[in-house]
Amino acid sequence: MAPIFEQTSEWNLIIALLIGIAFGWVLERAGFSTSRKLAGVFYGYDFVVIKVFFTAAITASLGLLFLNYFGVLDFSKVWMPTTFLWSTIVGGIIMGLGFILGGFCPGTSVCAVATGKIDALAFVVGITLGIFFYSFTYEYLWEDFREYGNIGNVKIGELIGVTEGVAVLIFILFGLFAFWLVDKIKKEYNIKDVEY
Amino acid sequence: MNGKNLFGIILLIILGIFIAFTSLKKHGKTEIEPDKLINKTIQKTRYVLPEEVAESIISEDPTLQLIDVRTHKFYSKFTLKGAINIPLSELFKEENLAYFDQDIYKTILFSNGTSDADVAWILATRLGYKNIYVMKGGLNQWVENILQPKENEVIWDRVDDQLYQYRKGASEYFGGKVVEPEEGVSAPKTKTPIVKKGKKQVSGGCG
Repeated sequence: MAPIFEQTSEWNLIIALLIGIAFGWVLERAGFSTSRKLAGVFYGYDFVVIKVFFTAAITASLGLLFLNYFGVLDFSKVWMPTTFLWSTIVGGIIMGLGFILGGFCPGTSVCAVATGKIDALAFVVGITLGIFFYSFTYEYLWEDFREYGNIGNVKIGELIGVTEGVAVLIFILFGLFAFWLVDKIKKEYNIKDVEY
Repeated sequence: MNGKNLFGIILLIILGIFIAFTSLKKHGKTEIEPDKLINKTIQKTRYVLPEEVAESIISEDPTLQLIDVRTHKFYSKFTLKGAINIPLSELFKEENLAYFDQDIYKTILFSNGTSDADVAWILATRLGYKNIYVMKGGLNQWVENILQPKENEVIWDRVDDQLYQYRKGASEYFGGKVVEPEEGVSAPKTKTPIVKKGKKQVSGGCG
């Protein structure tokens, strides 16, 4: 019965290391260690990011529900973060701006540092400074705002009043629509795949 | 659209439709309804007598699982043979619930009296665990009935006598006090086998 390891288990770090290596390797192989590919989605010349992230989300959600269906995974033990609506929106805007400006998201920047990219190194230094800034000013600037728009542990399905399964089906259809749309845009504007 | 893409799309939609018709399964034990719990609670069959427990221990019943719900301190001083210690306050620890989450053993809970074991029984039953019983009277009754059985002043019938004899036997097995008949109370006369005397053999003498 999953989770295979308890949260307090000493195996946690070892498992995290193995998953981290696999995750980094997949990111690198998917071409996510280059800022041009990542930023391409915002400039409209490369849509792999959309495809990869939708695929990942669909696979994970289907996987979770099927594991639950076959009795392997206990859903009540899956940790789910609280949704703070407004602070998440603001955080998302900051993250999006950083993504466009720097050309990386946190995970891919670390992956790109491993391949020796100078811009990624600068990005990681920036992230670290940002973390320190946030931590040291948390009590004065962010504490109240962070709790803003707390809507608890909600799932999209609950919000729109359908079961988890139906929500996943809707998400799959939405993902497929997104795949179709980006392919259509590529064809329409004759955007060629670029090798970086 | 090439064949590989089409296959992927169809597969995703089929999986999605399948999962849309399922609902989340709850794997944890589901709590039983209060009215059902009351029905179970008033059943006398959820109790076992100390004599029955003693019999199971003596006969080394492999399906017996004794759980002492008293504190570790009490447990370390005295408990029943083969009993596991799960104090009431630690009942819901995951590793402890594993002892309840099975249907092979006959789990018998006991405490000093009946009440703590009863509380544990109600909680475990409410969580949907089965095959759980309470030792009636707890260890106090155990000591009274098994370790220091008193002889009834008047043994009314054969069943009473058998019970007493059984308790006395169990008491000896568990190392309790062997009760001797009190003074003034005449011990029941036991038949002594009559040994027929044979003819005296002639032994020597002046023949």
